[in-house]
Amino acid sequence: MVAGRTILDVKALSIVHPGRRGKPASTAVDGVDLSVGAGEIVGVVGESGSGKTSLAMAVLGLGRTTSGSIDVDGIVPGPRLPLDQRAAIQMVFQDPHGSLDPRQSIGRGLRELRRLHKARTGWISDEDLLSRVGLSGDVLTRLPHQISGGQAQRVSIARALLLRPTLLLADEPTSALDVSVQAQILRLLKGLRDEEGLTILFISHDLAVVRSVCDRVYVMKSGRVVESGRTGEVLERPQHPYTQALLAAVPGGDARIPGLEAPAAEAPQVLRDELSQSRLATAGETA
Amino acid sequence: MSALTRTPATYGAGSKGRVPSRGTASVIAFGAPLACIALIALLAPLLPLSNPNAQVLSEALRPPAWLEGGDWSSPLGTDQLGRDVLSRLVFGGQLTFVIAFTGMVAGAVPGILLGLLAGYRRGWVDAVISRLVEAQLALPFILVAIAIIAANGRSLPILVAVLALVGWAQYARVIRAETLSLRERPFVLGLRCAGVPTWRIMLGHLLPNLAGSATVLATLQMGTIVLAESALSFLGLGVVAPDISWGAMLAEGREQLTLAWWVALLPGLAITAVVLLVNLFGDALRSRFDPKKRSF
Repeated sequence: MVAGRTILDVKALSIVHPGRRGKPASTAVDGVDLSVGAGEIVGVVGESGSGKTSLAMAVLGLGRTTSGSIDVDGIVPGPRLPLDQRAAIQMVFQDPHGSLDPRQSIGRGLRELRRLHKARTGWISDEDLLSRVGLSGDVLTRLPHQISGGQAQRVSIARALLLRPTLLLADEPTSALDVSVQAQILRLLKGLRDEEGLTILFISHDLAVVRSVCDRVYVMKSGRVVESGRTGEVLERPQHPYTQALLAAVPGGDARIPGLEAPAAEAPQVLRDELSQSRLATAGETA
Repeated sequence: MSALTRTPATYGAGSKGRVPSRGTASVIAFGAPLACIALIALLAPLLPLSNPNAQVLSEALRPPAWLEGGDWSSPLGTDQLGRDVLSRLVFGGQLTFVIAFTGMVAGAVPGILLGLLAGYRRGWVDAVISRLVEAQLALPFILVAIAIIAANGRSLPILVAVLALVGWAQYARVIRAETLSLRERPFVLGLRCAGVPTWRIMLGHLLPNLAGSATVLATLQMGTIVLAESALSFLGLGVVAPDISWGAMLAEGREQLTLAWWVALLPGLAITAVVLLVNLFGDALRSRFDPKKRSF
Protein backbone atom coordinates (compact mmCIF):
# COMPACT_ATOMS: atom_id res chain seq x y z
CA MET A 1 0.00 0.00 0.00
CA VAL A 2 1.81 3.09 1.23
CA ALA A 3 5.50 2.60 0.71
CA GLY A 4 6.19 4.53 3.91
CA ARG A 5 7.85 3.40 7.09
CA THR A 6 6.87 0.36 9.05
CA ILE A 7 4.80 1.18 12.13
CA LEU A 8 4.33 -2.25 13.66
CA ASP A 9 7.10 -4.79 13.32
CA VAL A 10 6.60 -8.15 15.02
CA LYS A 11 9.49 -10.58 14.66
CA ALA A 12 9.43 -14.28 15.57
CA LEU A 13 7.00 -13.61 18.39
CA SER A 14 6.12 -16.54 20.62
CA ILE A 15 3.78 -16.48 23.58
CA VAL A 16 3.51 -19.45 25.90
CA HIS A 17 0.97 -19.31 28.69
CA PRO A 18 2.40 -21.35 31.57
CA GLY A 19 0.26 -24.23 32.78
CA ARG A 20 -1.46 -23.80 36.11
CA ARG A 21 -2.27 -26.50 38.65
CA GLY A 22 -1.05 -29.42 36.59
CA LYS A 23 -2.37 -28.21 33.27
CA PRO A 24 0.28 -28.21 30.54
CA ALA A 25 1.61 -24.91 29.20
CA SER A 26 -0.15 -23.77 26.06
CA THR A 27 1.45 -22.02 23.14
CA ALA A 28 -0.80 -19.16 22.05
CA VAL A 29 1.50 -17.58 19.50
CA ASP A 30 4.26 -19.56 17.79
CA GLY A 31 6.89 -17.65 15.86
CA VAL A 32 4.77 -14.98 14.22
CA ASP A 33 6.27 -12.40 11.88
CA LEU A 34 4.00 -9.51 11.06
CA SER A 35 4.37 -5.97 9.88
CA VAL A 36 2.07 -3.02 9.33
CA GLY A 37 3.12 0.00 7.31
CA ALA A 38 2.06 3.56 8.01
CA GLY A 39 -1.49 4.20 6.87
CA GLU A 40 -2.23 0.55 6.30
CA ILE A 41 -5.14 -1.50 7.57
CA VAL A 42 -3.89 -5.02 8.14
CA GLY A 43 -6.18 -7.86 9.12
CA VAL A 44 -5.44 -10.81 11.37
CA VAL A 45 -7.96 -13.58 10.74
CA GLY A 46 -8.45 -16.83 12.55
CA GLU A 47 -10.87 -18.82 14.60
CA SER A 48 -11.16 -18.57 18.38
CA GLY A 49 -8.03 -19.80 20.08
CA SER A 50 -5.80 -19.07 17.12
CA GLY A 51 -3.76 -16.61 19.16
CA LYS A 52 -5.21 -13.37 17.79
CA THR A 53 -6.01 -11.87 21.18
CA SER A 54 -2.73 -12.93 22.78
CA LEU A 55 -0.99 -11.22 19.90
CA ALA A 56 -3.03 -8.06 20.41
CA MET A 57 -2.35 -7.96 24.15
CA ALA A 58 1.36 -8.37 23.51
CA VAL A 59 1.37 -5.53 20.97
CA LEU A 60 -0.51 -3.41 23.52
CA GLY A 61 2.24 -4.18 26.03
CA LEU A 62 -0.22 -5.58 28.55
CA GLY A 63 0.18 -9.24 27.69
CA ARG A 64 2.85 -11.86 28.02
CA THR A 65 5.62 -12.38 25.49
CA THR A 66 7.92 -15.37 25.64
CA SER A 67 10.37 -14.69 22.85
CA GLY A 68 10.72 -12.57 19.75
CA SER A 69 10.34 -8.84 19.47
CA ILE A 70 7.68 -6.20 18.95
CA ASP A 71 8.42 -2.69 17.78
CA VAL A 72 5.80 0.01 17.40
CA ASP A 73 7.46 2.93 15.66
CA GLY A 74 10.47 2.76 17.96
CA ILE A 75 8.52 1.83 21.08
CA VAL A 76 8.90 -1.57 22.68
CA PRO A 77 5.51 -2.22 24.29
CA GLY A 78 5.60 -3.26 27.93
CA PRO A 79 3.64 -2.88 31.14
CA ARG A 80 5.64 0.15 32.34
CA LEU A 81 5.70 2.46 29.36
CA PRO A 82 6.01 6.21 29.90
CA LEU A 83 2.62 7.89 29.56
CA ASP A 84 3.35 9.41 26.18
CA GLN A 85 4.49 6.12 24.67
CA ARG A 86 1.53 4.33 26.23
CA ALA A 87 -0.82 6.68 24.41
CA ALA A 88 0.80 5.83 21.07
CA ILE A 89 -0.82 2.39 20.99
CA GLN A 90 -4.58 2.39 21.45
CA MET A 91 -7.21 -0.27 21.16
CA VAL A 92 -10.88 -0.59 20.30
CA PHE A 93 -12.65 -3.60 21.76
CA GLN A 94 -15.38 -5.93 20.69
CA ASP A 95 -17.98 -5.11 23.35
CA PRO A 96 -18.96 -1.48 22.76
CA HIS A 97 -20.75 -0.95 26.06
CA GLY A 98 -18.21 -2.95 28.05
CA SER A 99 -15.40 -0.68 26.84
CA LEU A 100 -16.84 2.33 28.66
CA ASP A 101 -17.07 2.80 32.42
CA PRO A 102 -20.82 2.40 33.10
CA ARG A 103 -20.79 5.17 35.70
CA GLN A 104 -18.83 7.76 33.80
CA SER A 105 -20.51 10.09 31.34
CA ILE A 106 -18.89 10.27 27.93
CA GLY A 107 -17.75 13.86 28.54
CA ARG A 108 -16.25 13.08 31.92
CA GLY A 109 -14.36 10.15 30.37
CA LEU A 110 -12.86 12.44 27.73
CA ARG A 111 -11.94 15.02 30.37
CA GLU A 112 -10.12 12.35 32.35
CA LEU A 113 -8.04 11.46 29.28
CA ARG A 114 -7.34 15.15 28.65
CA ARG A 115 -6.12 15.69 32.22
CA LEU A 116 -3.83 12.71 31.92
CA HIS A 117 -2.41 13.58 28.50
CA LYS A 118 -2.47 17.39 28.51
CA ALA A 119 0.03 17.93 25.70
CA ARG A 120 -1.32 15.20 23.48
CA THR A 121 -5.01 16.00 23.57
CA GLY A 122 -5.10 19.76 23.01
CA TRP A 123 -5.44 19.38 19.25
CA ILE A 124 -9.20 19.02 19.11
CA SER A 125 -12.31 20.01 21.04
CA ASP A 126 -14.76 17.40 22.33
CA GLU A 127 -17.38 18.48 19.79
CA ASP A 128 -15.00 18.31 16.84
CA LEU A 129 -13.69 14.97 18.01
CA LEU A 130 -17.19 13.54 18.25
CA SER A 131 -18.25 14.96 14.90
CA ARG A 132 -15.19 13.29 13.39
CA VAL A 133 -16.62 9.91 14.43
CA GLY A 134 -20.12 10.93 13.38
CA LEU A 135 -21.61 11.83 16.77
CA SER A 136 -23.15 15.03 17.99
CA GLY A 137 -22.14 16.90 21.15
CA ASP A 138 -25.19 15.81 23.13
CA VAL A 139 -23.73 12.36 23.84
CA LEU A 140 -21.21 14.10 26.14
CA THR A 141 -23.69 14.21 29.00
CA ARG A 142 -24.90 10.64 28.51
CA LEU A 143 -23.92 7.54 30.38
CA PRO A 144 -22.86 4.53 28.30
CA HIS A 145 -26.15 2.67 28.78
CA GLN A 146 -28.02 5.66 27.36
CA ILE A 147 -26.42 5.36 23.93
CA SER A 148 -26.66 2.61 21.33
CA GLY A 149 -24.01 0.00 20.64
CA GLY A 150 -22.96 1.73 17.44
CA GLN A 151 -22.68 5.08 19.24
CA ALA A 152 -20.70 3.48 22.06
CA GLN A 153 -18.28 1.99 19.54
CA ARG A 154 -17.87 5.43 17.95
CA VAL A 155 -17.14 6.85 21.40
CA SER A 156 -14.49 4.16 21.93
CA ILE A 157 -12.92 5.09 18.61
CA ALA A 158 -13.07 8.78 19.57
CA ARG A 159 -11.36 8.06 22.91
CA ALA A 160 -8.58 6.26 21.04
CA LEU A 161 -8.29 9.02 18.42
CA LEU A 162 -8.07 11.73 21.06
CA LEU A 163 -4.66 10.36 22.08
CA ARG A 164 -3.40 10.52 18.46
CA PRO A 165 -2.18 6.93 18.37
CA THR A 166 0.47 5.83 15.92
CA LEU A 167 -1.15 2.39 15.92
CA LEU A 168 -4.77 1.49 16.53
CA LEU A 169 -5.60 -2.09 17.41
CA ALA A 170 -9.15 -3.06 16.61
CA ASP A 171 -10.13 -6.37 18.20
CA GLU A 172 -13.35 -7.52 16.53
CA PRO A 173 -14.70 -3.96 16.64
CA THR A 174 -17.87 -4.81 14.75
CA SER A 175 -18.71 -8.33 15.93
CA ALA A 176 -21.19 -7.16 18.54
CA LEU A 177 -23.01 -4.79 16.18
CA ASP A 178 -25.77 -5.45 13.69
CA VAL A 179 -24.95 -5.45 10.02
CA SER A 180 -25.95 -1.90 9.05
CA VAL A 181 -24.08 -0.41 12.02
CA GLN A 182 -21.14 -2.68 11.18
CA ALA A 183 -20.86 -1.07 7.77
CA GLN A 184 -20.95 2.43 9.30
CA ILE A 185 -18.16 1.66 11.75
CA LEU A 186 -16.06 0.05 9.04
CA ARG A 187 -16.58 3.06 6.79
CA LEU A 188 -15.54 5.27 9.69
CA LEU A 189 -12.31 3.32 10.25
CA LYS A 190 -11.54 3.36 6.53
CA GLY A 191 -12.26 7.09 6.39
CA LEU A 192 -9.92 7.76 9.30
CA ARG A 193 -7.21 5.87 7.51
CA ASP A 194 -7.81 7.72 4.24
CA GLU A 195 -8.05 11.19 5.80
CA GLU A 196 -5.69 11.03 8.74
CA GLY A 197 -3.38 8.21 7.75
CA LEU A 198 -4.32 6.15 10.80
CA THR A 199 -2.57 2.79 10.95
CA ILE A 200 -4.82 -0.05 12.03
CA LEU A 201 -4.22 -3.66 13.00
CA PHE A 202 -7.61 -5.22 12.53
CA ILE A 203 -8.33 -8.47 14.33
CA SER A 204 -11.36 -10.42 13.27
CA HIS A 205 -12.83 -13.80 12.60
CA ASP A 206 -15.25 -12.32 10.11
CA LEU A 207 -13.97 -12.67 6.56
CA ALA A 208 -16.60 -10.33 5.14
CA VAL A 209 -15.45 -7.55 7.43
CA VAL A 210 -11.78 -8.20 6.73
CA ARG A 211 -12.39 -8.24 2.99
CA SER A 212 -14.12 -4.90 3.09
CA VAL A 213 -11.53 -2.92 5.07
CA CYS A 214 -8.12 -4.58 5.07
CA ASP A 215 -5.33 -3.94 2.59
CA ARG A 216 -3.40 -6.99 3.65
CA VAL A 217 -4.34 -9.97 5.75
CA TYR A 218 -2.60 -12.57 7.90
CA VAL A 219 -4.42 -15.86 8.45
CA MET A 220 -3.60 -17.45 11.81
CA LYS A 221 -4.17 -20.98 12.95
CA SER A 222 -3.00 -22.45 16.27
CA GLY A 223 -0.65 -19.55 16.88
CA ARG A 224 1.04 -19.61 13.47
CA VAL A 225 0.57 -17.46 10.41
CA VAL A 226 -0.43 -19.94 7.71
CA GLU A 227 -1.01 -17.49 4.91
CA SER A 228 -0.57 -13.79 4.29
CA GLY A 229 -0.77 -11.34 1.46
CA ARG A 230 -3.04 -8.77 -0.14
CA THR A 231 -6.62 -9.28 1.04
CA GLY A 232 -8.06 -9.80 -2.41
CA GLU A 233 -5.50 -12.39 -3.37
CA VAL A 234 -5.68 -14.35 -0.15
CA LEU A 235 -9.46 -14.46 -0.06
CA GLU A 236 -10.03 -15.06 -3.78
CA ARG A 237 -7.24 -17.56 -4.30
CA PRO A 238 -6.47 -19.08 -0.93
CA GLN A 239 -3.42 -21.34 -1.00
CA HIS A 240 -3.57 -22.89 2.43
CA PRO A 241 -6.23 -25.55 3.16
CA TYR A 242 -7.14 -23.72 6.39
CA THR A 243 -7.93 -20.50 4.56
CA GLN A 244 -9.96 -22.48 2.06
CA ALA A 245 -11.86 -24.11 4.90
CA LEU A 246 -12.49 -20.72 6.54
CA LEU A 247 -13.86 -19.34 3.29
CA ALA A 248 -15.99 -22.40 2.69
CA ALA A 249 -17.50 -21.96 6.15
CA VAL A 250 -18.93 -18.53 5.29
CA PRO A 251 -22.66 -18.94 4.62
CA GLY A 252 -23.57 -17.99 1.07
CA GLY A 253 -19.92 -18.17 0.06
CA ASP A 254 -19.75 -14.46 -0.78
CA ALA A 255 -18.21 -12.76 2.21
CA ARG A 256 -19.10 -9.12 1.78
CA ILE A 257 -20.59 -6.31 3.79
CA PRO A 258 -23.41 -4.62 1.90
CA GLY A 259 -22.50 -1.08 0.92
CA LEU A 260 -18.76 -1.58 1.30
CA GLU A 261 -16.57 -2.67 -1.57
CA ALA A 262 -13.40 -4.63 -1.27
CA PRO A 263 -10.29 -2.50 -1.79
CA ALA A 264 -8.72 -4.68 -4.46
CA ALA A 265 -9.00 -7.76 -6.62
CA GLU A 266 -12.72 -7.89 -7.25
CA ALA A 267 -14.17 -11.22 -8.26
CA PRO A 268 -15.20 -11.40 -11.92
CA GLN A 269 -18.66 -9.94 -12.47
CA VAL A 270 -20.10 -13.27 -13.68
CA LEU A 271 -19.06 -15.04 -10.51
CA ARG A 272 -20.52 -12.30 -8.31
CA ASP A 273 -23.85 -12.45 -10.14
CA GLU A 274 -23.92 -16.17 -9.72
CA LEU A 275 -23.20 -15.86 -6.01
CA SER A 276 -25.83 -13.21 -5.38
CA GLN A 277 -28.36 -15.33 -7.28
CA SER A 278 -27.56 -18.36 -5.22
CA ARG A 279 -27.93 -16.20 -2.11
CA LEU A 280 -31.36 -15.04 -3.31
CA ALA A 281 -32.32 -18.63 -3.95
CA THR A 282 -31.33 -19.62 -0.43
CA ALA A 283 -33.27 -16.72 1.01
CA GLY A 284 -36.31 -17.81 -1.01
CA GLU A 285 -36.10 -21.32 0.34
CA THR A 286 -35.99 -20.26 3.93
CA ALA A 287 -38.80 -17.72 3.58
CA MET B 1 -58.54 -1.84 24.66
CA SER B 2 -57.51 1.73 25.28
CA ALA B 3 -54.03 0.50 26.15
CA LEU B 4 -53.78 -1.14 22.76
CA THR B 5 -54.72 1.98 20.86
CA ARG B 6 -52.20 4.19 22.57
CA THR B 7 -49.49 5.40 20.25
CA PRO B 8 -45.81 4.97 21.05
CA ALA B 9 -45.63 8.73 21.64
CA THR B 10 -48.03 8.57 24.58
CA TYR B 11 -46.03 5.69 26.05
CA GLY B 12 -42.94 7.84 25.94
CA ALA B 13 -44.70 10.82 27.47
CA GLY B 14 -46.23 8.63 30.17
CA SER B 15 -42.93 7.20 31.32
CA LYS B 16 -41.29 10.62 31.31
CA GLY B 17 -44.09 12.22 33.30
CA ARG B 18 -43.58 9.83 36.23
CA VAL B 19 -40.97 11.94 37.99
CA PRO B 20 -40.01 10.07 41.16
CA SER B 21 -39.12 6.55 40.03
CA ARG B 22 -40.07 3.55 42.15
CA GLY B 23 -36.53 3.33 43.44
CA THR B 24 -36.49 6.91 44.69
CA ALA B 25 -39.91 6.51 46.30
CA SER B 26 -38.86 3.50 48.36
CA VAL B 27 -35.57 5.14 49.33
CA ILE B 28 -37.63 7.99 50.78
CA ALA B 29 -40.25 5.66 52.27
CA PHE B 30 -37.66 3.73 54.29
CA GLY B 31 -35.08 6.46 54.68
CA ALA B 32 -37.44 9.06 56.16
CA PRO B 33 -38.59 7.09 59.24
CA LEU B 34 -35.01 5.96 59.79
CA ALA B 35 -33.80 9.55 59.61
CA CYS B 36 -36.59 10.58 62.02
CA ILE B 37 -35.60 7.95 64.57
CA ALA B 38 -31.93 8.90 64.26
CA LEU B 39 -32.74 12.59 64.56
CA ILE B 40 -34.91 12.12 67.65
CA ALA B 41 -32.18 9.99 69.26
CA LEU B 42 -29.42 12.47 68.45
CA LEU B 43 -31.48 15.45 69.65
CA ALA B 44 -32.38 13.68 72.90
CA PRO B 45 -30.73 16.26 75.22
CA LEU B 46 -32.88 19.01 73.64
CA LEU B 47 -36.18 17.17 74.04
CA PRO B 48 -38.45 17.62 77.07
CA LEU B 49 -37.56 14.25 78.54
CA SER B 50 -36.91 13.37 82.14
CA ASN B 51 -33.40 12.38 83.17
CA PRO B 52 -32.98 8.80 81.89
CA ASN B 53 -30.90 7.88 84.92
CA ALA B 54 -33.10 9.48 87.60
CA GLN B 55 -34.20 6.71 89.94
CA VAL B 56 -37.52 6.90 91.81
CA LEU B 57 -37.86 3.55 93.54
CA SER B 58 -41.42 4.26 94.69
CA GLU B 59 -42.39 4.58 91.02
CA ALA B 60 -40.67 1.32 89.95
CA LEU B 61 -42.23 -0.92 87.29
CA ARG B 62 -45.10 1.42 86.52
CA PRO B 63 -46.83 0.16 83.31
CA PRO B 64 -47.23 2.31 80.16
CA ALA B 65 -49.82 5.09 80.33
CA TRP B 66 -52.55 3.26 78.39
CA LEU B 67 -52.56 0.30 80.80
CA GLU B 68 -54.23 0.13 84.18
CA GLY B 69 -52.00 1.81 86.75
CA GLY B 70 -50.18 3.80 84.09
CA ASP B 71 -49.48 7.49 84.28
CA TRP B 72 -48.75 10.03 81.52
CA SER B 73 -45.77 11.32 83.49
CA SER B 74 -43.98 8.22 82.19
CA PRO B 75 -45.82 7.35 78.93
CA LEU B 76 -43.99 4.06 78.32
CA GLY B 77 -43.78 3.07 81.97
CA THR B 78 -40.78 2.77 84.26
CA ASP B 79 -38.20 0.08 84.90
CA GLN B 80 -37.21 -1.74 88.07
CA LEU B 81 -35.41 1.35 89.40
CA GLY B 82 -38.25 3.70 88.53
CA ARG B 83 -36.45 5.24 85.54
CA ASP B 84 -38.53 6.51 82.65
CA VAL B 85 -38.51 3.93 79.80
CA LEU B 86 -39.30 6.45 77.05
CA SER B 87 -36.46 8.70 78.10
CA ARG B 88 -34.09 5.73 78.31
CA LEU B 89 -35.19 4.49 74.87
CA VAL B 90 -34.44 7.86 73.26
CA PHE B 91 -31.09 8.32 75.02
CA GLY B 92 -30.23 4.67 74.43
CA GLY B 93 -30.97 5.10 70.73
CA GLN B 94 -28.39 7.86 70.62
CA LEU B 95 -25.54 5.59 71.63
CA THR B 96 -26.92 2.70 69.59
CA PHE B 97 -26.88 4.82 66.42
CA VAL B 98 -23.45 6.27 67.10
CA ILE B 99 -21.99 2.81 67.73
CA ALA B 100 -23.72 1.30 64.69
CA PHE B 101 -22.52 4.06 62.39
CA THR B 102 -18.92 4.26 63.61
CA GLY B 103 -18.70 0.47 63.75
CA MET B 104 -19.98 0.25 60.19
CA VAL B 105 -17.54 2.86 58.88
CA ALA B 106 -14.64 1.40 60.83
CA GLY B 107 -15.31 -1.99 59.25
CA ALA B 108 -16.25 -0.78 55.78
CA VAL B 109 -13.22 1.36 55.00
CA PRO B 110 -10.49 -1.26 55.55
CA GLY B 111 -12.75 -4.05 54.27
CA ILE B 112 -13.56 -2.34 50.98
CA LEU B 113 -9.98 -1.21 50.36
CA LEU B 114 -8.53 -4.65 51.10
CA GLY B 115 -11.18 -6.34 48.94
CA LEU B 116 -10.44 -3.96 46.09
CA LEU B 117 -6.72 -4.57 46.42
CA ALA B 118 -7.09 -8.36 46.58
CA GLY B 119 -9.45 -8.49 43.61
CA TYR B 120 -7.46 -6.14 41.43
CA ARG B 121 -3.87 -7.19 42.17
CA ARG B 122 -4.62 -10.91 42.60
CA GLY B 123 -1.52 -13.08 43.08
CA TRP B 124 0.14 -13.08 46.49
CA VAL B 125 -1.70 -9.95 47.66
CA ASP B 126 -4.99 -11.75 47.11
CA ALA B 127 -3.67 -14.91 48.78
CA VAL B 128 -2.63 -13.04 51.93
CA ILE B 129 -5.84 -11.00 52.20
CA SER B 130 -8.07 -13.98 51.44
CA ARG B 131 -6.42 -16.12 54.14
CA LEU B 132 -6.87 -13.28 56.62
CA VAL B 133 -10.56 -13.02 55.69
CA GLU B 134 -11.05 -16.76 56.08
CA ALA B 135 -9.27 -16.74 59.43
CA GLN B 136 -11.48 -13.88 60.59
CA LEU B 137 -14.68 -15.57 59.43
CA ALA B 138 -13.68 -18.84 61.09
CA LEU B 139 -13.44 -17.23 64.53
CA PRO B 140 -16.69 -17.10 66.49
CA PHE B 141 -17.52 -13.44 67.00
CA ILE B 142 -18.63 -13.62 70.65
CA LEU B 143 -15.44 -15.46 71.59
CA VAL B 144 -13.25 -12.85 69.93
CA ALA B 145 -15.28 -10.08 71.54
CA ILE B 146 -15.01 -11.61 75.00
CA ALA B 147 -11.25 -12.08 74.59
CA ILE B 148 -10.63 -8.52 73.41
CA ILE B 149 -12.92 -6.88 75.93
CA ALA B 150 -11.57 -9.00 78.78
CA ALA B 151 -8.04 -7.99 77.87
CA ASN B 152 -8.70 -4.30 77.28
CA GLY B 153 -11.59 -3.48 79.54
CA ARG B 154 -14.95 -2.11 78.52
CA SER B 155 -14.91 1.18 76.67
CA LEU B 156 -16.58 2.71 73.67
CA PRO B 157 -13.52 2.72 71.36
CA ILE B 158 -12.84 -0.94 72.18
CA LEU B 159 -16.48 -1.80 71.46
CA VAL B 160 -16.35 -0.03 68.07
CA ALA B 161 -13.07 -1.78 67.26
CA VAL B 162 -14.60 -5.16 68.09
CA LEU B 163 -17.63 -4.44 65.92
CA ALA B 164 -15.38 -3.28 63.04
CA LEU B 165 -13.48 -6.53 63.35
CA VAL B 166 -16.71 -8.43 62.74
CA GLY B 167 -17.57 -6.43 59.65
CA TRP B 168 -14.41 -5.93 57.60
CA ALA B 169 -14.09 -9.54 56.45
CA GLN B 170 -17.58 -9.50 54.94
CA TYR B 171 -16.83 -6.36 52.96
CA ALA B 172 -13.46 -7.67 51.84
CA ARG B 173 -14.95 -10.94 50.64
CA VAL B 174 -17.86 -9.44 48.68
CA ILE B 175 -15.85 -6.55 47.21
CA ARG B 176 -13.02 -8.88 46.19
CA ALA B 177 -15.43 -11.14 44.31
CA GLU B 178 -17.04 -8.19 42.54
CA THR B 179 -13.68 -6.66 41.69
CA LEU B 180 -12.49 -9.95 40.21
CA SER B 181 -15.30 -9.88 37.66
CA LEU B 182 -15.21 -6.11 37.13
CA ARG B 183 -11.50 -5.99 36.34
CA GLU B 184 -12.03 -8.32 33.38
CA ARG B 185 -14.39 -5.85 31.71
CA PRO B 186 -12.80 -4.30 28.62
CA PHE B 187 -13.12 -0.75 29.95
CA VAL B 188 -10.49 -1.52 32.60
CA LEU B 189 -8.12 -2.69 29.87
CA GLY B 190 -8.99 0.44 27.90
CA LEU B 191 -8.07 2.64 30.85
CA ARG B 192 -4.80 0.78 31.37
CA CYS B 193 -4.11 1.20 27.70
CA ALA B 194 -4.71 4.95 28.03
CA GLY B 195 -2.14 5.02 30.83
CA VAL B 196 -4.54 5.70 33.71
CA PRO B 197 -2.63 4.85 36.90
CA THR B 198 -3.66 1.74 38.82
CA TRP B 199 -4.78 3.56 41.96
CA ARG B 200 -7.00 5.79 39.86
CA ILE B 201 -8.55 2.83 38.08
CA MET B 202 -9.25 1.26 41.48
CA LEU B 203 -10.59 4.32 43.28
CA GLY B 204 -11.99 6.33 40.37
CA HIS B 205 -13.52 3.59 38.23
CA LEU B 206 -13.87 0.32 40.12
CA LEU B 207 -15.03 1.81 43.44
CA PRO B 208 -17.95 3.80 41.93
CA ASN B 209 -19.03 0.65 40.12
CA LEU B 210 -18.94 -1.24 43.42
CA ALA B 211 -20.76 1.51 45.32
CA GLY B 212 -24.11 -0.24 44.96
CA SER B 213 -22.96 -3.48 46.57
CA ALA B 214 -20.91 -1.61 49.15
CA THR B 215 -23.91 0.48 50.20
CA VAL B 216 -26.22 -2.50 50.44
CA LEU B 217 -23.61 -4.37 52.43
CA ALA B 218 -23.01 -1.37 54.68
CA THR B 219 -26.68 -1.01 55.55
CA LEU B 220 -27.05 -4.74 56.14
CA GLN B 221 -23.93 -4.59 58.31
CA MET B 222 -25.43 -1.72 60.26
CA GLY B 223 -28.33 -3.98 61.13
CA THR B 224 -25.93 -6.73 62.15
CA ILE B 225 -23.92 -4.29 64.26
CA VAL B 226 -27.00 -3.08 66.11
CA LEU B 227 -27.74 -6.72 66.90
CA ALA B 228 -24.13 -7.48 67.83
CA GLU B 229 -23.94 -4.47 70.10
CA SER B 230 -27.19 -5.54 71.73
CA ALA B 231 -25.84 -9.06 72.18
CA LEU B 232 -22.63 -7.78 73.75
CA SER B 233 -24.48 -5.40 76.05
CA PHE B 234 -26.88 -8.19 76.91
CA LEU B 235 -23.88 -10.29 77.95
CA GLY B 236 -22.54 -7.39 79.95
CA LEU B 237 -19.62 -6.82 77.55
CA GLY B 238 -20.92 -3.73 75.84
CA VAL B 239 -22.15 -0.44 77.12
CA VAL B 240 -21.60 0.30 80.82
CA ALA B 241 -24.04 2.21 83.08
CA PRO B 242 -24.66 5.13 83.24
CA ASP B 243 -24.38 4.91 79.42
CA ILE B 244 -27.50 3.42 77.87
CA SER B 245 -27.99 1.32 74.78
CA TRP B 246 -30.96 -0.71 73.64
CA GLY B 247 -29.06 -3.95 74.16
CA ALA B 248 -28.20 -2.97 77.73
CA MET B 249 -31.86 -2.10 78.39
CA LEU B 250 -32.89 -5.47 77.00
CA ALA B 251 -30.44 -7.18 79.33
CA GLU B 252 -31.65 -5.31 82.39
CA GLY B 253 -35.28 -5.88 81.49
CA ARG B 254 -35.12 -9.63 81.09
CA GLU B 255 -35.35 -10.28 84.83
CA GLN B 256 -38.68 -8.45 84.97
CA LEU B 257 -40.09 -10.10 81.85
CA THR B 258 -42.90 -11.91 83.69
CA LEU B 259 -43.73 -8.91 85.91
CA ALA B 260 -43.19 -5.97 83.56
CA TRP B 261 -42.88 -6.99 79.90
CA TRP B 262 -42.54 -3.40 78.69
CA VAL B 263 -39.09 -2.95 80.18
CA ALA B 264 -37.57 -5.55 77.84
CA LEU B 265 -40.07 -5.62 75.00
CA LEU B 266 -39.89 -1.94 74.06
CA PRO B 267 -36.12 -1.81 73.44
CA GLY B 268 -36.48 -5.16 71.65
CA LEU B 269 -39.11 -3.66 69.37
CA ALA B 270 -36.91 -0.62 68.77
CA ILE B 271 -34.00 -2.84 67.72
CA THR B 272 -36.25 -4.90 65.43
CA ALA B 273 -37.80 -1.82 63.82
CA VAL B 274 -34.48 -0.10 63.19
CA VAL B 275 -32.76 -3.22 61.81
CA LEU B 276 -35.72 -3.90 59.53
CA LEU B 277 -35.84 -0.31 58.30
CA VAL B 278 -32.09 -0.26 57.72
CA ASN B 279 -32.28 -3.45 55.66
CA LEU B 280 -35.21 -2.24 53.56
CA PHE B 281 -33.42 1.06 53.09
CA GLY B 282 -30.33 -0.79 51.88
CA ASP B 283 -32.38 -2.72 49.36
CA ALA B 284 -34.03 0.45 48.11
CA LEU B 285 -30.63 2.13 47.76
CA ARG B 286 -29.37 -0.78 45.70
CA SER B 287 -32.03 -0.40 43.07
CA ARG B 288 -31.52 3.35 43.11
CA PHE B 289 -27.77 2.97 42.64
CA ASP B 290 -28.02 0.70 39.63
CA PRO B 291 -27.25 3.14 36.76
CA LYS B 292 -29.53 1.22 34.42
CA LYS B 293 -32.51 1.82 36.68
CA ARG B 294 -31.77 5.47 37.21
CA SER B 295 -34.40 7.70 35.66
CA PHE B 296 -33.64 11.00 33.97
